[in-house]
Amino acid sequence: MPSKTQGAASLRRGTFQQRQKRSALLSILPVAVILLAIKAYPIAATVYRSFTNWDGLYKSDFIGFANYADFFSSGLFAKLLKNDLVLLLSVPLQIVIGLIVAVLLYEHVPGWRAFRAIYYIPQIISLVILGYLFKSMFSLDGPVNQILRAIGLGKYAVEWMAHGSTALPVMVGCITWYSIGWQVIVILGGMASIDASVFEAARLDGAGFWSRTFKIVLPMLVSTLTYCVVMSVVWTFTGLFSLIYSMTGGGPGYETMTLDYMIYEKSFVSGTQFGMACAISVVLLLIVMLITAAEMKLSNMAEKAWG
Amino acid sequence: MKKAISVLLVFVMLIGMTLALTGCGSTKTTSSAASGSSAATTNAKLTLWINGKDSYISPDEQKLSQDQWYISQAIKRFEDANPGVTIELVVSADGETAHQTFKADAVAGTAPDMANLWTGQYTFQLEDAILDIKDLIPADDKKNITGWDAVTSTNTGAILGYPTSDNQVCFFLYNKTIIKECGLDFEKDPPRTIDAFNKACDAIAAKGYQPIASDDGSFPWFGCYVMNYWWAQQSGVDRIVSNCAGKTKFADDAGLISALTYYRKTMTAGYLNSDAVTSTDSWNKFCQGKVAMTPQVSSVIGDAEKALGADNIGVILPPDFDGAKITNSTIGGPGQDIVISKATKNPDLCIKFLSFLNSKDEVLKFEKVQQKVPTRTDITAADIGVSDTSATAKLFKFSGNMVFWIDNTLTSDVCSEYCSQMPMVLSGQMTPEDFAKDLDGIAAKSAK
Repeated sequence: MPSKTQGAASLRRGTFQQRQKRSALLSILPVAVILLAIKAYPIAATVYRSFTNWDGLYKSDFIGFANYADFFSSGLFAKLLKNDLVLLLSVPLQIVIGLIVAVLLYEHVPGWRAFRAIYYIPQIISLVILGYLFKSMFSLDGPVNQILRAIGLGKYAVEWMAHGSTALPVMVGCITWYSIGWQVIVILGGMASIDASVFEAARLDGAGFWSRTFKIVLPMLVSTLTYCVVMSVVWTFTGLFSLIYSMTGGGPGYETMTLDYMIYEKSFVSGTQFGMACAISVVLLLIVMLITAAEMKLSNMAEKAWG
Repeated sequence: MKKAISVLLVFVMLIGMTLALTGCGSTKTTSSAASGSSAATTNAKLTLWINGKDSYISPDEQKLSQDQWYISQAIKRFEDANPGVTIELVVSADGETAHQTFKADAVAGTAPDMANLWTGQYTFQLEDAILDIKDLIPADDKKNITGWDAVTSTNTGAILGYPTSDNQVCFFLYNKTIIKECGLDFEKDPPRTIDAFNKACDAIAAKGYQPIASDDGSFPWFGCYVMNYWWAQQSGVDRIVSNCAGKTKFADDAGLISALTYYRKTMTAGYLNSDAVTSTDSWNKFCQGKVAMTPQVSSVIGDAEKALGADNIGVILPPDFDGAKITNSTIGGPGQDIVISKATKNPDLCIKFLSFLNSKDEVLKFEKVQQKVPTRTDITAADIGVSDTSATAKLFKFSGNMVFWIDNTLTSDVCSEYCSQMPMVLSGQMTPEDFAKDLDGIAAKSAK
């Protein structure tokens, strides 16, 4: 049976824990309020407005699912999603290349510090500048075509940005080149968390470079690679506006337009279709959430298989 | 004690943040000047937004301090004539975003008293936030200023602003040296038919020059400046308006199909630069003397004269299709206006200022800084000291017979689709017929 002293101590601990919890809640309350105001309210307002014919001013009549029906039936959704999926091809490219470079840098090849800086340089260039740079490089009389003509491949010197079939691969190349540096830095950070003794033990056991890479490094990097994939996919869906604006403007027509760019088109270029823009925003949100959930599930399966 | 201090600190932070957040969201939507009958107060402050580009502030003026700009001095003259009145000038860096900013400010209740916008649908779509000044405009202004159509709402007939004193005219700007070298004389014998135009372009191409250059990717300039004229002259403007309303079909509009077909042909025939859909340097090439003609508007004349010499540049009207309803004309009209917000507390004072700004005296002062074709009908080329043989003098003559900007006439949804898909037609990735059907789909949805 607890003594009076033990009971009193237990009561004081309980009161102390409650005070701790209360302090913790009060501490995070201001940030939570701000986040709700800045994030949750606009999302809720956007979802509401997606069911109206809001023109950005005072007109905002409830029209049900008309915006969604229009968007899915017009053929625009399929085209924009296709463009997004093509641009998503840059994700495996940048991760594979980033992984190779990170592994080599981790091995401290000669000049590895300089290479690490060089690979990160594209990340510090503004996407707008990058877009204009690639646009002029791939223009009809730009350096790329001049080189192609000079080496006898003049038939491939086309107007790269004038057709979706050529503009999208150029954009994939641009995004990959831009993102490799970020992938390298993140993967190197992940590799830094691997205990050096693991590599030492593997070396002592006679494991070569490839064995170490595929049997130690990759399995231990699953969570890092998951993070890289998720962030890259989300960024591809939501962060390419400035690149597309400067490179192609989404054109010609809608050939290089993406879902997030169309939100800008409907709201600010058309000027009156804010309701439709909200509907496209909601669709984009759902797509990104679905893809992220699928990636997390696959990652868990991979971790179990390799863990 | 420590607990009390930490609770107090958290409480103060919460209050502070709540106050900051409530400060972000005032939502005044009621107009305080809807009746338009409030008297001008002795002490009044007005806010005026002016676009920083291609409006009242010229590129040369931007190198000077703000108080030396024409518009600043005009404001000072008005303030001196109206003691107690001050006008705050706010320069919008970008005319395009000015519309969205005006819209957002109108909803937030912080719209300026007056704002410089683009005419036609760009202004009409903001009608709910703009004052109808039909009954406030002085009779003399209605008589002596042209371009009121550009600011009269096609939905309600309300007059939504004063057209700015800049009657933009579209034309082919040409390099006289190149044209002469090709054995042509556009001053004495300008190509007035499509056949004559084709022959001229063939002659220019044969000499190794690019006949026409334009950058039609990000915005279809050639399309809007010239192709739209070919459309309007064959179909008539009423037909275009009717198409947008869904009463007739773009797909059945033979004038549209014909104009688009020829627009595409200018590229396939080699008249238009083959990279028109992606290029960004056609203006540079014209100024470097590599291109014979480029579709342009009045405001570039000064730059062209500086680059190639005033004696070396000329202007011609677009050629006419055989049997067209409208001939010897072009696209043009005031592309910008100044509107009065419904939220203004001083509508009469705003009208007084706009009438002052568009008075003959002020327009003549403005013309000394930027030579533009004015919207006042009582000002001639001689009044502003323009030489009879100059390109600007010719534009004065052209301005007497213009078709108002077709892209400003289209409804906003149709216009947006029209401008997006034109590069597809130009590059041959979409047929004119499919383009017309696409527009019909948009028009049908808008009409619902």
